[in-house]
Amino acid sequence: MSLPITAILVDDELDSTQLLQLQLRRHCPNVNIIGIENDSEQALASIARLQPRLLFLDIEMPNLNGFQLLEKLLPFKPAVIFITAYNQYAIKAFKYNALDYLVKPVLATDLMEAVAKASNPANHPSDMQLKQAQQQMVGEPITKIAVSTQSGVSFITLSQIMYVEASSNYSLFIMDDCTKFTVSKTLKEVQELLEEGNFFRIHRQFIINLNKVKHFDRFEFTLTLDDKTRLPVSRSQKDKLLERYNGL
Amino acid sequence: MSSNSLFTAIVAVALLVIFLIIGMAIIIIIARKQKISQQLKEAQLQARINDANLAALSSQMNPHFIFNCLNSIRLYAEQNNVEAAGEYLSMFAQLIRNTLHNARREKILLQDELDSMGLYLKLEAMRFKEKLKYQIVVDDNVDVDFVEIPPMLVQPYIENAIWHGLMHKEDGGTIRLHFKQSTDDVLIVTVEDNGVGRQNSANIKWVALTKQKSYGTQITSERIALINEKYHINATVQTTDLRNNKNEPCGTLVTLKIPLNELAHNSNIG
Repeated sequence: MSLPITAILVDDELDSTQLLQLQLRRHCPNVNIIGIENDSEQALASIARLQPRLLFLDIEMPNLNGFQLLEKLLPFKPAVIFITAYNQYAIKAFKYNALDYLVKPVLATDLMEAVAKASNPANHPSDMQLKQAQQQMVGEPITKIAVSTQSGVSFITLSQIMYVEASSNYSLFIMDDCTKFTVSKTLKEVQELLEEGNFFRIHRQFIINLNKVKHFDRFEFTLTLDDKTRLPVSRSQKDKLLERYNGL
Repeated sequence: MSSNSLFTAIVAVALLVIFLIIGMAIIIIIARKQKISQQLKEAQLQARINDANLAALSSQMNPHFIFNCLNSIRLYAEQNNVEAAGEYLSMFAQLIRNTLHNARREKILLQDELDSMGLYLKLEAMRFKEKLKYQIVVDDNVDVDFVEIPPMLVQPYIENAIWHGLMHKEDGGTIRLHFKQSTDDVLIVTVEDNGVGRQNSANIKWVALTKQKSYGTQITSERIALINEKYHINATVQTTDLRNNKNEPCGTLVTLKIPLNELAHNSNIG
């Protein structure tokens, strides 16, 4: 078993912190709970004083939301696992910024996985991730997403993606300046991240940026991109693809 | 009679008949058009009412409420508090059943609405413990088994009272619901809380949730406007800021007035 991790739980709902405490005791005995706070202002003081290594943080609270609380803690930066009942804006912000989060009621396996991940300092969120997530949560448009790569977390500007190619459990991003990088997500997960933007999955293997398409060959079912790459289009996706263009 | 005057008479009669036919045709066409535009208007009104009801349903089935309830139920289960877990699960199920059922109706019995409100408040009280106290008073002259009202009109104001009134107070507070009926058959519903008041609440930042919360009451005022249009009634909702004798804010009072007679009898008028 790994070293004990000191943790503080913050949620305005009493039942939530109690349940989390029970679940942590049962499933994550290496987490040493040194504080439980149900008020965001009081949490601020207690975190500053006790300096836990890990924070379980509800995102929706009166007075300060989770992101605002983190901001006020600076320069102190603990590892964070966000928790939310359901807030579509928050969940999107977490996803787009590769931040770890749990949804209530929390599954034991998810909890254990999140704790294991948070124990590794390499997985701690960067200022950039947190800042961007906070902006996106209040409705700022998404122009960049954060993704975990082999070397850490990278930010990708959506408009610079040429296409994404599946490579077993990884995805290969090919950018318009010909740089490439591998992301540890399946193409399906990438598709979920990109679906709100101007992207389309043309094939089991490929997601393309619709703004980078030069030509579509109706007879051969191939697409030519700005950089002259030719990619196959699934027959089943052809009509939907044309629909996306008609809609533009 | 000369053949000339006979001819003139025939022409006159024929013209008259033709004019009559044309006139009738025009009248029929206009009447039809009017009927169609009336039907279209009714259909449009109905569509707007349906949209508003759907919006009310989705605001009542507030995900934040749903998932926090489920979370609390899971807590009881983890604590081996079998009885509480079972009770709250059944209440939660009943509330969802009522809401799904009522959402398809234009009017429901007041008793059914009271049942749903009771369940909603019990579940909220489970989450907020002693921070949330409530009282539901129904006057004797209100016939809850006969009075019919549009569903889901009151709940958004209760939700508002909890989230904007009581939750900002350290030790919470009380919500009082009062149902009374005036002599001229107007149902008067008051939702009173002793929370921080609207002004204070607006000053407290509640990022991301604020939009969703006030959304519910906004939907309700739109629904009331549509219901008024459809039934030709004048249901009203009024919010009053309460102040104590030192003139400090001490809560909010929402008064809903629903004319029952017209609501019951105008139901088939476009």
